[in-house]
Amino acid sequence: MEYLAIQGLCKRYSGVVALDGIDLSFREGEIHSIIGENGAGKSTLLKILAGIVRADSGSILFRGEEIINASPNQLFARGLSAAFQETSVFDNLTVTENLFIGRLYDYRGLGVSWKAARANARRVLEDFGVHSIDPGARVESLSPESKQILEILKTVKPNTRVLSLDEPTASLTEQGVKLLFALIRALKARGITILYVSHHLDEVLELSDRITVLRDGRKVDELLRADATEERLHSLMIGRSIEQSKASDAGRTLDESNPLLRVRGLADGKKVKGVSFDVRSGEILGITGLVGAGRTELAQMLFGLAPKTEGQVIFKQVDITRSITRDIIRRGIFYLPEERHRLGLFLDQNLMINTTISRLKGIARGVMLDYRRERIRSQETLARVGVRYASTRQTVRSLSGGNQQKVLLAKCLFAEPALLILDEPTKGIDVGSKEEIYKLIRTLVGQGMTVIIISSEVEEICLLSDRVLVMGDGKLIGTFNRGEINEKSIALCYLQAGAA
Amino acid sequence: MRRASHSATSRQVQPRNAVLDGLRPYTLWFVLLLLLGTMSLVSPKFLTLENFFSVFRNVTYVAMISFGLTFVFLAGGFDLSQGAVLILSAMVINSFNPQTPQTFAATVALVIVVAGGIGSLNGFLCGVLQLNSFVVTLATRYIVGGVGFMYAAGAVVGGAAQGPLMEAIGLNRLFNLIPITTVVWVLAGALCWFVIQYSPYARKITVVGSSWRTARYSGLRVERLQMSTYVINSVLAGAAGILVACQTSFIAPTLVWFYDFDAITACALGGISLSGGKGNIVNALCGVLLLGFINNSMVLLGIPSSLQSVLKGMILMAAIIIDIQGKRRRE
Repeated sequence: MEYLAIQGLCKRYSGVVALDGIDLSFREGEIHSIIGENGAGKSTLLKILAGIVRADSGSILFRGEEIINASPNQLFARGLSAAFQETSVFDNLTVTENLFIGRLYDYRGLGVSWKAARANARRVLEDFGVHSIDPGARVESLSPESKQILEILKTVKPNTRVLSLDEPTASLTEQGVKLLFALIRALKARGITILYVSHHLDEVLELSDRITVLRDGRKVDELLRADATEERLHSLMIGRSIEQSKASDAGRTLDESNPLLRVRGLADGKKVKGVSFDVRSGEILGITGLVGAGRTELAQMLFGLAPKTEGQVIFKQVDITRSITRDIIRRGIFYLPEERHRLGLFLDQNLMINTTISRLKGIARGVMLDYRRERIRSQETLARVGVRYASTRQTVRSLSGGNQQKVLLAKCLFAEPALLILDEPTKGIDVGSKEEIYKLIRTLVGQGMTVIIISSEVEEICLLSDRVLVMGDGKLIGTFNRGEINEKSIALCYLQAGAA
Repeated sequence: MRRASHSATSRQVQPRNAVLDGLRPYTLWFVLLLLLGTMSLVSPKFLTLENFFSVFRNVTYVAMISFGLTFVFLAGGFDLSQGAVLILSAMVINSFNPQTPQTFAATVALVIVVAGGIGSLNGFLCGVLQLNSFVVTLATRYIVGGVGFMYAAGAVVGGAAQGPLMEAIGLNRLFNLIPITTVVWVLAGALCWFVIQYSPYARKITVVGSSWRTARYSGLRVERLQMSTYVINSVLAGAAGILVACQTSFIAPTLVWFYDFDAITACALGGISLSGGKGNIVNALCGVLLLGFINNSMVLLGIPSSLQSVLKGMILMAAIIIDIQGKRRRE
């Protein structure tokens, strides 16, 4: 009997396949890494194992017992725990309170015996070789490393048998990673099975007993540590050939001498640490890099949404470093944010309002809004991006993800920008809409628009860009010109930066 | 990912019952009609011009403030201070007791400036500094209400013979029928309606109320827009105070408690979303009339004032429940 066996696991998110019939098996007491590109299905797999997301079909057997779609509490009771990318520790509570959250009644006489609870917390911490954390400290005073360790310890209960870790090193320094690895090994020594999800291949190679590679919701391969090399894992992760056509390229000549946008030494004192580049009129500039490399922050600075501590931004020969967003829009830049629900759309307003808000002048007659003009103009723009809708009066919320994203594009286009900055423009939408959006971007560029596209999907970047910039830790770490663009070298470039 | 379906891209709304859904926005008007119908059967005094215009006169201050509140609510804010602003304005007017049109105009200007100032303070704290609007305006309400008490030195302001102009505004009727104060609030309402319906400004505050983050990413100056709504609300509350002063020559500072919540009740009744982004003057008007006629009916039916308050609370609760259910169904 297998210890933990997953068979034929499937999951779709409103039409998008996240997991496509995955078979996996885990042995007791092993560290089993799961790797893959963004969107390969790693997080979804872990979430299903934690009972947070419901699977559509398949089976998960734990010691012979079917546990698919059990509630998180049922899974806890059977010894399956998970710690996720974002820490869920409570900043305003102490370490002790966080460790025993939900279980403090164990120490109840008339009230909680804090002395006993703290002693208990100290014992747990020292059991795992963590001496640097004071059980009485407030979590907000802890370093990111300590928080991450606490996050993991919090999920380790006395009965824990399987522990899933999703990108636990994302916010850690080298020192923190060492601490974390020591902890993970201590857990393994107790016979706990670790499911380790990470982008960082060097970590995976250092820790794992076995490695599974996912791609596009399917299992590509499963390797023993001894058989794995960084090169091999890379090619398994990326895999695809990139023979796709770049039709619109032909006939476009780029004006090299006179850049549309000139960015010099831009920094925000935090995430972005001195970035310089030019954007030439009529090109598609791709910017990629690991999550957290400062790409979004850079875009927000260009759009006047985040303060700049250093540097200069020149657009069409005008210094817009200190301009506010409204004026930057008027000069001809528009930004499509990554979080379309929170930052891009007014979900409970109708399609017209969402489309025309980017340039109300376009629908005004004198001091009044002209509703007829608004309807006609928004219909034109929605048709241009291919939104499928019943009425311009329906709310954006009632549309599917792909259509919502197109409405967001319509809003961007209504502003009639000369430079469009797209931040993860195809995140979380189905393949069909994705292709339509690619086509649209090419059409726009064909009509003279300049586009900066920020994406974690290297495939997408390679498919669209004339030039690719790779960011790592707030700096530009690589530039790829037209002839040099291929998925492998770009992915290698940013993964190495992530490892460094 | 390659197997993703292409058919799932368009999920269109299919209303379960198109007719019922189409009528939903008018629910409250039906409730109002129902109330009017029932009352005209029950009470012979109800369905008279005299009674109707007395209702229209009595709702003056609620109407004015509701119109102002509509702006605040649209932009996703909240204001509790308008009752206090109203009373302070009314007291200022009555204490100056202007006799000539010139002095009246000067006092009105003073009141508007003071009210605008209080609104700017609210707006600065809630809009620019993004503090919790509930707490901020609760604080201003205490401050302004307290200043009112000090101004009145604990007693009642007014009582002297009013100047001819104020008396005319407070008592006269257009065509010997429509109270001047009613004319004023109807005109103010029409102006606000026009602004909310057709101005780019109103469109901007509406989307700010819908999602201030998205509004920021759309290039709107969210802070200023939110701030402006508090100024509008306070100025209208100040104007309401002027009308109240014309209607009644005695203003007691304790009346703050009386004027505090009626306009909020009216807006909530009328279906203006207290979480922002949804509502217009017609909503406010409907709430105002409903509230006015409910009050009027309860008086005509001889319901004791303590019970009136209980009933009003229950009606408000019912309105909120209906509103939430409508929303849940839509989602």
